[in-house]
Amino acid sequence: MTLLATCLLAGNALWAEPTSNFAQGAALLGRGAPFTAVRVLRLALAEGDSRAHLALAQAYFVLNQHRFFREEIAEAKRNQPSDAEPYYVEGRFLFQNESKFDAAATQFQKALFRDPNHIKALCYLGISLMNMQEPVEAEAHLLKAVEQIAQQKSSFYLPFQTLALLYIQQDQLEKAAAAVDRAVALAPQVALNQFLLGKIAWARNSPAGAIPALQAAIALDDAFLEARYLLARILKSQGKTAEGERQLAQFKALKEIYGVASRQ
Amino acid sequence: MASPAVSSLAVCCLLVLLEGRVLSQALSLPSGPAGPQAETRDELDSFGLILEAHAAQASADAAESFLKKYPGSKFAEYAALAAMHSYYNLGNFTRSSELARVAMRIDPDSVDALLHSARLLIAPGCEDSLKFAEADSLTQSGLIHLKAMKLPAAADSRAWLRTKNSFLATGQCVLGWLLFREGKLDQATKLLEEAANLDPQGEYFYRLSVVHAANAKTAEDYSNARIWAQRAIQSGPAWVSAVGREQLGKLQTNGAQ
Repeated sequence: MTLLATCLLAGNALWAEPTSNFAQGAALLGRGAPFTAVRVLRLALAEGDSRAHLALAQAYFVLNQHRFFREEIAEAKRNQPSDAEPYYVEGRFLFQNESKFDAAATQFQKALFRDPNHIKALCYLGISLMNMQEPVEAEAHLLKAVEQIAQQKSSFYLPFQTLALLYIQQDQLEKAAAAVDRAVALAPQVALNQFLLGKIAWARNSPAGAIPALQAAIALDDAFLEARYLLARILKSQGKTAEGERQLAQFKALKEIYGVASRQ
Repeated sequence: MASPAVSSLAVCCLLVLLEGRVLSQALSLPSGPAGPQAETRDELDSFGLILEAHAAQASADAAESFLKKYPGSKFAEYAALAAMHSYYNLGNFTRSSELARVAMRIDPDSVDALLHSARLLIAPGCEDSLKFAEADSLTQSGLIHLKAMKLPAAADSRAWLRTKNSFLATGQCVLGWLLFREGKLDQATKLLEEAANLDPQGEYFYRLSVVHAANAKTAEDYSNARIWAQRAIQSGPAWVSAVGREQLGKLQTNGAQ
C-alpha cells in the first residue's frame, strides 16, 4: 500500500460494508491497486452509492489525474456537505500535487469548520502555514493537533515531527528535542524522525545520541544522503576518521547512484 | 513465461513497477502538474489494464489495444514501453523493436527505450557489425541519460535502486557482449557478471555461459559455462531457456570435460 493511500484511507474501512462494490473499491485502493479500484468504484456509483465519489477522488489523487479528481471531490462535497473529509482530501491534493499552500490551507480550514478535532486537517494546516512563512499560526495548529492526538489516543506522528522541524528553524532545541522524542516513540520506523533525533542531539553536543539515530535513519532509507553526510562529519569530529571516511565514500557513491539532486 | 504484474505504484504514480519472474522493468511516470493526464476515464481504465495484466501476452495485447484506440494519449509512451518489454519476454524481437521506436518517437531520450533498442540489436542470432555499432551508440546515450536521472522526492528508494540497476544491467550486458565480439573475453566477462549481479536475468546468464565457453581452457572453465547455461534454462523466459538448452547441448556435444 502506498503511503498516500494509507493516509487517505485511514477512515474508509469504518464506513464500508465488506461485500459492496464501494467496500471492494476502497480495499483495492488500500492494497495499492488504484486502476482496479477506479473500475470497481465506478460500478458502485452506477449502483447509486454516492459514497464512492470520495473514494474515487482519492484514487484519482493517487493516479495524479487532476480533472477527474476535481470532478469527484466536487461531487463528494455536494453529496456530503457536512463531512470534513472531502475538504481535507482536496487540501492534501492542493498541498501535495500542486504546492498551492494558500488554497490548501483554505480547504483545511473548511474541514476544521465541519470537524474542529480533525487531527490531520489541523496538522496539514500547520504545515501549510509553515510553508506560507506563518510560524506562529503554524505552531498553534500543530499544538492543537498534538492535544487531539492525546485525547483521541492516536498514533499520528506527523505533528510532532513538524513541530521538531519548526523548533529547529527557531533554534529552540529543548522544545525540538521533546517533540522529536514523541515522534520517534510513535513512529521509530520513519527515517526522517530518526534523522531529526540525530540532528538535534548533535546540535545539543551529544554525539553519543546522534550517531545511533543517524545510523537508524540510514538503515531505514538508503537514499537518505543528508543523514550519511552528517554521520560522516560527526564520526570524523569524534576522531573516528576511518569510519567517517567510509561513510563519506558511501555518501559520494550513493549520490552518484541516486542522482545528483537526491532527496534529503 | 514471465508474467509481468504490477507490484507497486508509488505515491502519485511516480514509479510504476512491473515485475516478472524473469524480467523486471519499470515505467517512470512524471508526477505533479507535468504528469500524464487522461482525456477520458475510459482511456485511464484502458491504460490500467496494461499495468494490471498478469501475463506478458495479456499485457502486450492490452497495450496494443490501447495504442490503437488512443494513439494521441499522453500515456502512449508508457503503453509502448510496457508492450516493448512484454514482446521481448515473449521472444518477439521484431514487434518489441517496433514499440521501442514508438516510445522513442514520443520521447527520444527515453532511457528504457534507448537501452532496450540496443539490447535488441545484439539479440541471439544478430551478427551485423553495423548493428553492433548502433547498439554501442544507443547504450552510451541511454547511460548518459540514466546518469542524469534523479530519485523522485516521494519514490521508494529501494524500488528506485532496483529500477536503476535494471537499466544499468542492460547497458553492461550490451557493452559486455560487444567486447566479446571484439575478442576481449576477460573484459566482457567482467561486464556481464556485473549485469548479472545488478539484475539476475536468464539472458545475462546465457551470455555468460557463451563467453565462459569461448574463454575456457580447463575442465573447471567448461563446468562454469555449463552452470551458467543451466541457470539461464531455469530462469527463462522461454526463449532464453531454449537458447540456454542449445548452449548446454553444444557444451556437451563438444565433449567439454
